[in-house]
Amino acid sequence: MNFLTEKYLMIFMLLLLSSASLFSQDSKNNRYPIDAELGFSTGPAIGEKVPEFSLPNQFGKIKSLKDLVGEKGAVLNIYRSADW
Amino acid sequence: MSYDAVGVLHAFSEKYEITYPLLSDEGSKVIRSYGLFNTEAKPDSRGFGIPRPGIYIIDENLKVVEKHFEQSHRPRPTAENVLVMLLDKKLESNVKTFETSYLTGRIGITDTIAYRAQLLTAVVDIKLKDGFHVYGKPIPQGYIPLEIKFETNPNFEIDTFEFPKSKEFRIEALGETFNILPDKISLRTFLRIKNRPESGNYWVKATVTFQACTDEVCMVPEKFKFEFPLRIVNQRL
Repeated sequence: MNFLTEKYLMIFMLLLLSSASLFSQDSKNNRYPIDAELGFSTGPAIGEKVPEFSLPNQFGKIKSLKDLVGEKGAVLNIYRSADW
Repeated sequence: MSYDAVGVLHAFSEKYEITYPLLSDEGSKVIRSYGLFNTEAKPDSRGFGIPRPGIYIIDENLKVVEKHFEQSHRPRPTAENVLVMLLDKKLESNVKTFETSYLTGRIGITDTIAYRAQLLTAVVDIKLKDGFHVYGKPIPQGYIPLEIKFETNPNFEIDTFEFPKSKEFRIEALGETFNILPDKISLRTFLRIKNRPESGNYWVKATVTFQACTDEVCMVPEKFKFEFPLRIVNQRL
């Protein structure tokens, strides 16, 4: 391989590596598609299962989503802050 | 669920006597897993880590049954709005009925008091007796479609109702096409309080008009007028 080809190969590899990290950053948030009307993702669609989780409640007790969802299901309200 | 620490949520739930779980997603890991992380917030701001806010109704198998997200974080659905719009609860209070010999209807608003930027729901339900129908648009000249009109008010806005699919019916002899609405019509739309309304006691004024027909004859056109009290408070709830 001559010098020029090697140089271009290096640049190509560099671009590939940097775009790969960009791609994984984006895909972290783009697991769900962007809502065409709103311009951002609104998470799981109707009919889809929501991601499970375990989080502490206001008393510091860890609750899993499965714990909290009863027979009737649940209302999950995801909001910005209780502080401001 | 929010990114607030347990201590913040505890104080909040004490202050407002909240009986349901407030979950602490400090670090926004779960918010991220839902794809709701707001990437527009700057890393050094207090807004870093906030979600695009919204509501999911999930069933016992964790499947999404309904969801509601808005363009801006400002519109705040009232509890009654969530019950009626997302959980299909029947509106029982602040409802007026109307009827003819061939039709029964009810119209109502979910709340009588509202604050800045809140979202309420306006409801119209109509049921027709066998053989009678009302029409959607477009409609041939001289005929009257089902229409619900709200008087405009600078302090709130009502989205147009989405009508159900109608059945096209063509009368060749007249060269006209009619859009026949279903016998049972359930309409729901948002009433949006403005971001900075003027506090006061207002009336939400609505007019329902229609002309029902059978296959043979058309009834007299009808017009019903309604007023619903709405007290608006120019404060954040």
